[in-house]
Amino acid sequence: MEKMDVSKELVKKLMEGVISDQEVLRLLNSYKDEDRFEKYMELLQEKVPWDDKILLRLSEHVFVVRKASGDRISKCSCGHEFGDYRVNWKLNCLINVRTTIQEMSEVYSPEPACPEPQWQEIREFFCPCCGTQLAVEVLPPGYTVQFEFLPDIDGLYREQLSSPLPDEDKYTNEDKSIELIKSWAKEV
Amino acid sequence: MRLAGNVIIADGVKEIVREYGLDYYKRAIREVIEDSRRAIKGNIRTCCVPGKFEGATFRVVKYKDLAKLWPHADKDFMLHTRMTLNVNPDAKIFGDMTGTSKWDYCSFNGYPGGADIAFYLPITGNFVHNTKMTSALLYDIKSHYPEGSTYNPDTDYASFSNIWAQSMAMGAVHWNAITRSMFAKGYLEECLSVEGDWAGIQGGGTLANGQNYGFTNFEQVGGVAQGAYPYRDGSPVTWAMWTQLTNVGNVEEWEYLIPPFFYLGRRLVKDFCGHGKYRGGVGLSSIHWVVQPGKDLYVSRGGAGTSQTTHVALGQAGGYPAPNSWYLAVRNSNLNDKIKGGMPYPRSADEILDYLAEEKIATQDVQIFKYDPPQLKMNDGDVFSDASGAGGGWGDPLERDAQSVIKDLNEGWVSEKIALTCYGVVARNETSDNEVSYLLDESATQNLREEKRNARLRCQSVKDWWKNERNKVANKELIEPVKYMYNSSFSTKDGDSFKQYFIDFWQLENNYNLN
Repeated sequence: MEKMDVSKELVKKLMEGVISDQEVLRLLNSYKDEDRFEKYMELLQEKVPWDDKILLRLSEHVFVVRKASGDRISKCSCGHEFGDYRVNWKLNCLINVRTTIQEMSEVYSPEPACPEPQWQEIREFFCPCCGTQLAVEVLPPGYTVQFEFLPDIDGLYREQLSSPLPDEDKYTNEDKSIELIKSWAKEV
Repeated sequence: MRLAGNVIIADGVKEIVREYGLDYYKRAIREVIEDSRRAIKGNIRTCCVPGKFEGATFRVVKYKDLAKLWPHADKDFMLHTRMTLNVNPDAKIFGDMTGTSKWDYCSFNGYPGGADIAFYLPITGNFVHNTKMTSALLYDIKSHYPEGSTYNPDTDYASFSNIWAQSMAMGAVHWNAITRSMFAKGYLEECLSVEGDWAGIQGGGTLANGQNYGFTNFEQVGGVAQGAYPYRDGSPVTWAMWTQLTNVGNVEEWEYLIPPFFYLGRRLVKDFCGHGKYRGGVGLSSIHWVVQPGKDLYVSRGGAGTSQTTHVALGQAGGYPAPNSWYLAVRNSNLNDKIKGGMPYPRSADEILDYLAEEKIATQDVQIFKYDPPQLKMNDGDVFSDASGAGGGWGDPLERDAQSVIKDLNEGWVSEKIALTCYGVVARNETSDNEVSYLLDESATQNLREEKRNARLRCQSVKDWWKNERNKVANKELIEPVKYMYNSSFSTKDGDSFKQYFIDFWQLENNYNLN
């Protein structure tokens, strides 16, 4: 196995889905290029229409960024801000819930492939600004909204990249979602 | 073969000890293990962003009213597997299954040793390369199964005949968490929606000459579709997470091994995948046609990856998770007469459904199972058909290149209906020499996709949805099997913490219960 020279252009092709199977095979078979994260961040930053510094990509369209004010927030590629990255960003989305076979049949087919109503429901989460479908959950009614990924950003930058963030002492790496929900409960 | 391998290794170890002495061997083997431990940690550190990942998967168990069951097993319920995966910056991984259902009177329990096989699969595949094969991964990668749970029953007498089925979905949840971590680091080539529900038919019978036999058809276990990658579609019948020897088997071989089961057809099922910007590979269906079974033949399903729900509960990045397996039994029909009359064979479960709807086949005895079917007696001319092995999607379906949807239409992988309702793609069809081909209606597609995005923007906020759902949960407006699942998940040794999380999430009274 060899160490492959992975260019920024090749990573871009991978991200845009225009990479060839042979190139993917070479990437899979080689030792990893350890500066991939830097190339990835540069390419992502070049693509988004805003200037906030991207610290991490959580999903296709969801990023953790540092705003000019210094706040770390999760943010959609369109620019919509979900707030503190330690709060599950799905809680600040729009939602469509499919509960009947008729509704489920629009996205699962043939009909027996649909989850069973009342046992399960399909939850679709959308960005409130651009309407992109950012996440799908298929869960029993009453199940908590899943926090797919709470990153340890300072652990990443300090211990893996040896490049601690200037504001690393400002954030504790804990799930803050319940604090938001408590504020909702006050309105009930 | 495995036993022979062990003997060869044992002989090799003895030879080293004879030549170099026991002390040298013990020192050397520790060095080897430490060397591989460091290599594994290096791989994890390189590829993963540290953090906490949640995931879940479910299985419906329908035993209610089945004959010959003990009263305590005579119920329909749902099993829950919950995993919180912690990836530490120092490349330690901890999978916590707190919140998982309590063990139950079904065959899907297991013990930690068995469950760990599924837990460690993603680690082995993703991080043990570049190393010697040792047990080093056990030092820094650990699992926790709450005492009393599906994977760690607090009794010595739990049935564990199908822990394999119940642990593979758990392994997929684990692997999908690792995928999220690697996606964040930029190693997209390693990422895929790790799914591929599976199923195995089992049965037994007596041939005309009195010969008894039993069988399992491993076709839908040996190979399933890959889920989508963040840069391309998944392929059908390509892999099996649980084996490096992917093989669905030749039709002729299965017919030779299972005498009364003839393949009337085997093909990929249109639409049968998790959809997305990149879609999962479509699943496979076979029609097992019963021909001269002899004295008797009974079939059932030996268990599948999941049941009546998607393979895992979370899709990847806005794509839909892989659908469940399903089965179709058509008995006492006029199929044999129709075949003798020259009717083209149906080739898959969905096509049988079409034939029934079009009244090409007539019967009063059609059963569809989205869960493990009970034992079914099969006679000459009956069919048992499975559909399984579908892969999950990646990304928003409305972002799928519209021409890729047209290509799927022309190749028969998606229907006009799904193209329209799921992908927002409008196609015009043309017929030439009895062949239908599809062309993209660009402006209608653009308008429909815009309309669908606008409809999404009119949806309620999660906050408003939460308020409404909270009332339902507070008023216990859930069906009994779902209540049972929550109560079961609250009742393992560590179940209180999941219950507290549930109470906090819905802001319920501390003495809340679902009884």
